[in-house]
Amino acid sequence: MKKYISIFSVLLLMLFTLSCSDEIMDEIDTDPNNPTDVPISMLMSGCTAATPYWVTGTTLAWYSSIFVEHTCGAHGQMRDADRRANINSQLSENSWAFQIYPRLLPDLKIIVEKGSAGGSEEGKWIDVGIAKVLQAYTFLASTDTWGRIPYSEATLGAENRKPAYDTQESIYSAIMNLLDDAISDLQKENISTTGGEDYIYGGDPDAWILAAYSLKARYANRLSNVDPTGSAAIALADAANGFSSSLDDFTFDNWANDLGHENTWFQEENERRHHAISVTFYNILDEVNDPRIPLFITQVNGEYVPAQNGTSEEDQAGTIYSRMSEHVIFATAPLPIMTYAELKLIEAECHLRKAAPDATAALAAYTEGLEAALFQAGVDSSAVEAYFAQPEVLPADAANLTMEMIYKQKYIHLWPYGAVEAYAEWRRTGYPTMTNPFETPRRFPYPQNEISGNAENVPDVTPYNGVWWDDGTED
Amino acid sequence: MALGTLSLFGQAREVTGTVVGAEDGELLPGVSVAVKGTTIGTITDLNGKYVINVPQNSDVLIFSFVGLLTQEVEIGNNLVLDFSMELDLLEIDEVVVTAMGIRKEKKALGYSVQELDESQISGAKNMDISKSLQGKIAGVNVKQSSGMPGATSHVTIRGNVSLTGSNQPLYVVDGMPIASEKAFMENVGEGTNPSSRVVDLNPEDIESISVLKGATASALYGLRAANGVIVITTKSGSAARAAGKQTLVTVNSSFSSDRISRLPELQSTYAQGNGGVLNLWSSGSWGPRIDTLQNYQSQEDNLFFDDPYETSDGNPPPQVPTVYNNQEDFFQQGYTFTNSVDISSATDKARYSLGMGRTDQKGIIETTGMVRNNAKFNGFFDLSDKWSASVSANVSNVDIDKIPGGSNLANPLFTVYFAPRSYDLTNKPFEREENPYQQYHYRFAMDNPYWALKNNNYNEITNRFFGNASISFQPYDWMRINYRIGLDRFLTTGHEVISLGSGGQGRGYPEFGMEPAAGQIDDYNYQRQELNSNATITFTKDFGDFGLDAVIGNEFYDITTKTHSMTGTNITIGGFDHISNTGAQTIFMELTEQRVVGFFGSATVDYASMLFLTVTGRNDIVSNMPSGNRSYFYPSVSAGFIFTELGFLKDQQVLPFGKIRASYSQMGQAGALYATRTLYTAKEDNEALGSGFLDNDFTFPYQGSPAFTLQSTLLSNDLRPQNITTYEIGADLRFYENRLGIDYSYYYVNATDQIFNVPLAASSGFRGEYRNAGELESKGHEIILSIVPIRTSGGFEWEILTNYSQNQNMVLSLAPGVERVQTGWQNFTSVGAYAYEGQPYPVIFGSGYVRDDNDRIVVDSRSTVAGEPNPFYGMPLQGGDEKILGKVNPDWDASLTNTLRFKGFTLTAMLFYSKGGYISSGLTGLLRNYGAAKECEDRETPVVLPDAAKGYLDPATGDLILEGDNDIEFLKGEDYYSTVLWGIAESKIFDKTLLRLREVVFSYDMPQRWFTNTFISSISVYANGRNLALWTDYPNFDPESSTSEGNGIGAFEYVSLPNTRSFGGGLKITF
Repeated sequence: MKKYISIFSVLLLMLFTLSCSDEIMDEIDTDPNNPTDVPISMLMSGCTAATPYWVTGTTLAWYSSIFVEHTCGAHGQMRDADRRANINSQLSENSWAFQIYPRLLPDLKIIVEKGSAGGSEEGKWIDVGIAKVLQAYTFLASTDTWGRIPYSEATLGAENRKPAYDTQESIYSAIMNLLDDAISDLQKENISTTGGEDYIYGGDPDAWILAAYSLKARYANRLSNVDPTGSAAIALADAANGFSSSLDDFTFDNWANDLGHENTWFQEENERRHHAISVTFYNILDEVNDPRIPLFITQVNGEYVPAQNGTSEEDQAGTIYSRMSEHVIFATAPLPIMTYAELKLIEAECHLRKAAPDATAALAAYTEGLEAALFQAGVDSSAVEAYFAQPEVLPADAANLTMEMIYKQKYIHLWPYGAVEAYAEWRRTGYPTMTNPFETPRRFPYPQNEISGNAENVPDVTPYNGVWWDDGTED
Repeated sequence: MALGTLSLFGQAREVTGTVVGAEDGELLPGVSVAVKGTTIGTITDLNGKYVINVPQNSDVLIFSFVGLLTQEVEIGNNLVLDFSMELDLLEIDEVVVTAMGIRKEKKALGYSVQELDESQISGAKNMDISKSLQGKIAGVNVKQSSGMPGATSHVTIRGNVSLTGSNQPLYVVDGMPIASEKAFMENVGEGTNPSSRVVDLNPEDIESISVLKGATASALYGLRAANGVIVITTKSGSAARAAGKQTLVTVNSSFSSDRISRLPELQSTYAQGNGGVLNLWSSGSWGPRIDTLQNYQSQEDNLFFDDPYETSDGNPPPQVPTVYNNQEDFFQQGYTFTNSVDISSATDKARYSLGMGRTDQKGIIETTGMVRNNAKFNGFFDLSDKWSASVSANVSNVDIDKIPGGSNLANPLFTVYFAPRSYDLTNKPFEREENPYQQYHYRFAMDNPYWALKNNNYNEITNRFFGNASISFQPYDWMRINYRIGLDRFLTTGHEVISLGSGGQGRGYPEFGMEPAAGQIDDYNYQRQELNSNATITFTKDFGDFGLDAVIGNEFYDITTKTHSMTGTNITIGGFDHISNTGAQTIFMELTEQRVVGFFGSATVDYASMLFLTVTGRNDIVSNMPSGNRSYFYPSVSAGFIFTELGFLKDQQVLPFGKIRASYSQMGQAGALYATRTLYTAKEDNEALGSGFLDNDFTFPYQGSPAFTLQSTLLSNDLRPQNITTYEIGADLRFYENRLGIDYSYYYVNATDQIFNVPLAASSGFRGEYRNAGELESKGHEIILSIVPIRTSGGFEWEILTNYSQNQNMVLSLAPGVERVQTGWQNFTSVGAYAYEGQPYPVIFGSGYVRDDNDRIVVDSRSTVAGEPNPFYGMPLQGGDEKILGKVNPDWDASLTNTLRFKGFTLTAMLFYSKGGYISSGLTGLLRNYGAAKECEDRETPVVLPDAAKGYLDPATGDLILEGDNDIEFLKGEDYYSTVLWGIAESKIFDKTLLRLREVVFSYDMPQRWFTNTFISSISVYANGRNLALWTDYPNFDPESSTSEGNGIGAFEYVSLPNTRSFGGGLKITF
């Protein structure tokens, strides 16, 4: 009997000790679902979709659209935003604390690190350049939205759990350099090509260079209140190297006809239906009989019925107010981030504002930009002709071209997909005059996540304080 | 003389006799008769007779029977020994199942263990055993999700002590742990709620449940038992042995009818629309008064926004304004059938039970239901004097049809609860004749509920096997070696279809050239396998007045899971629910493995059956903790002192039994799997591009490219297990022949080094950091009071049993600089369940009213804003601070069970009271938002909000400017309910105090004499009811239903299905 016991004991002991050696336990603890490292290509695909999705095309855009009165909130959160009932830290939670900072920016940074000198995929300069352009756009759109944000100490992980907030002035200056770096990287000798994982330009470095210059022009122009003539000169110099036609547009045009991959505004209009046409936007078109009205706007019982921001009725069904048309909002509608038409309107403005104003050059750029915008909107040539016949649209004499005409065309051109940019432009130019009886915020509130986790650094401002390029102060 | 001769020659003698009950003199079958100091034993037959061979040296027989006093009798010179057994009124020799299946006398324990017997478990015919625990065990709290068949329930014992880990107990069936929690977590805001796997157990198979409440009780089980253990013993032939039959067959059939327990209260004055204007496409009931409406055409007659008042020839007759009962029409009467057969058998060498059961449940919503088939075998075999074996095997098949809850667009209840009263949801067509996937519905994003029931489909099938085999070897009287190996394996397959043409994604309008589109099919498999191995050596020996009872052992378990799912979107052929019929597919795969190896030991020393001291220790080695830091040791010590054994207290009548006990233990809990380094993760599922707004995420791989992203949680390899220290003291006192019994416990639990996702400012690049931080405590009182006010010699007995539990838990600290951490359901941004420093856990946190220094609500004092009339004049201001709105768990709860017994009749009724605790009622918020709530009935009487101040928030500075006491009249209408209250989370917080008549069981055991000379042994009939009555101030819904996951359960309720109210009856026959 003792023999059995001892054999039994020895067997059990072997089983017990073998089954829990550190080596076996380490193997069991190796995650089979998630790799420890991935190549740049697997990060790039996510980033070139996430940037347009999160920065250009979802929450920030929908609220901006309400604020800038491109649309009127006819339902739910957007109607609350229109009536300023929910201008609080929750507004920014998704964009800042779930999307841009913890997901998009770290991945872009890793691409830059991996592809640059000393990185595991050193020499993938096209990817590095693309990532820098996307970083630049993301940071600038973010500082426009919130004002001061973490930049120099952002996304350092365990090295800095409470990043400081940089001034908007310093971010603008740093990003202009970042875009210059991007342009130079995109011109370097590249070790392998980038392709399908770049959903925007398919890995074409030249296209990205044009986009980088165009963005430089857009954001230089943004500083018109801070440095009217200097900003114009810089913007014009960069614009000269920017897009040369609408074919160069910085656009996400890779939506598909299946759930989730549809144009984000299309999904919103199909599922949530928060937006009606704003009376502010409609009147601007209507006063010059804009041919884009029937293309952009639906009718209710045979009439255009825009909604008054701030006081509209609840109308998710769309039985009361006009809405964005299927001509503009459809499943595979391209999502422009920046266009040739916008670049030309920037040029027009800068020609008027530069140290030695040049109205002729301004009118030429204005005409070119407007034509590109109308063409993009699908206006046929006869309608363009009739539209151009109105001097308040296209003055015969360059001297009659006003800043307001340029602002107005940009305001229309940025409808509906360029809402984030249009909201920044309204704060810079004051065009158009808002009709919402409630005061319009001049920035988004900081998210609760930052207020809780980084309280000592979050600036003490309200959404009604202008950002640096708006009123010249950082608060 | 003859006897003497027998002794002299060393021969055994045959002793016979008859055993009767002392109280009534009836013959007692099934009484165990054993010869003291030997393994020789037998049981009495049907006539109470026994025959036993008594060896020469032995002179004492032990008679024992459940519920009767075990007694030793000297044989002396008798060869015929008749005996009458007395009731064991004190039940102090009661044996309970403790950790590792070790049976111990309850009086020897230094900690609290509470048991339920068969009738307490299955008396009221709850289909889910976790639901039958509610109110029956002090300290156990059961939270239910909804009244859906197979709906999850969440069990906690003595409150929450883990922030983000599980707080649910371990389930052990026939000596082996099994999986009990839900297979996987689904975001309840979206899909259907997967069932917790306790539902696989058939309550009819269970003989007893023993709840090990504190960490000391469960210490031997190690890491996974930190929240207590529910030890389940299935039937094993004891019944046959007790009945003195070799084979006993029990057939049990029951039926119950289920109705919805509570419906929201609706207004019936106003029609569909907004701003007082009829709008047949509005989701709101903010239209004109129904009694002022003229006849109008329904939506279907002019789908495309013609003037609804316009009539033309050829159209169906105009709609006559009236009030419809859409809710009542929608719900049906559900029913549950249960049938089970149990065959128990007992011989000298073996006892076993084979059980089979089937449960058919039809839900209160037409397409919902559950079918459960169970089979189980449990047997014990004596192979020889020294070897014995046991086998337990369970097979189940559970098939559940359900509907999604929460804010899912396909949740039919979303329309049922809120449909305007002027809208005839029931009788209007829900689909077009020419194309059934083209639905009629006044709402755009949500499905017509009838259309959804017909076309959408949510099914979950689980096939499961679990069981174990053990072998025991007893080389010496005092030593026993046992090895047990067990397997628990199940496969859950889910098939969910959101039909072509569903919701806002693909309704389509043929008039606009848009055909029904979209739709989604999800097909998933979840497989879980748990291998358990357990080896123990036990020692039992007496040394004079001292007794030793010790065990050493090893446990090994390895748990693997495998999840595969396919999601196809854009269905082409309606009704063909196959993934090949979809335009785009995404797949998901996840594999996990965890292994724990534990070594443990325990020793109990008793002195003179008066003083008991137990020490235990366990060392666990855990795969999912960092290398070099994965081995942990936990000790416990407990003591019990039966002070009534002291000389001066012995043998008195007032307090025949009294014990005090105390214990201390330490226990650990490991972190999540694969949480020791930051990895890259595929941009699918949780990491896909989502917006927080849209229903569908942008998923990868897309156009041939996969996408990965760095995980947004910072992980590190210096985790330690969270440490739980428990102190417990208690007393067990029995007065006057046990007519009054009090069992009291006080416990204090302190859990340090919590492992959780400590939030980080997202600008750091991470949303959180998974690490050790924080401390929670939980303390409470439990009182079990039993009283027998009446016990007559005529057989009438009235018994009162009360379970009282009070638990206070508190978040002592989180991490430095972290005030709160969100837990549970995170779908709402405006309100959440949080762990909040210095507060009970969890609390509801969200936007409050703007209040003045006297805590009065401040209403908007501006009659105009920017020259326009202010629509919110006189209404509470938006923009109040976010704050704690209430704690989720009740202050205390208590049950009161009255049992009356007379002859064969038994009537049991349990009242359950739960005091305090708050819930965020999304349903009430939505009812107001849509103008459907009863409280939105009066819109024409100007009111002034009482006890309020007036003022406004300065837009430039955000400062509150006060302008005195409120005197502003306004109408409580759409702006008030839809915008103002909707935006203030505090307005949706309600106290969920309730009193409920939870269970009533009336049964009648027919007299034995009716069946003499038949094959039938006994018949009992019973009637029962569950949730028969409810008293609460909670509005519109059942306060015990909630929509949440994990530790946040009970914090939110959002368009789910209330519990059901059931009554029924059944028949139990044994032969």
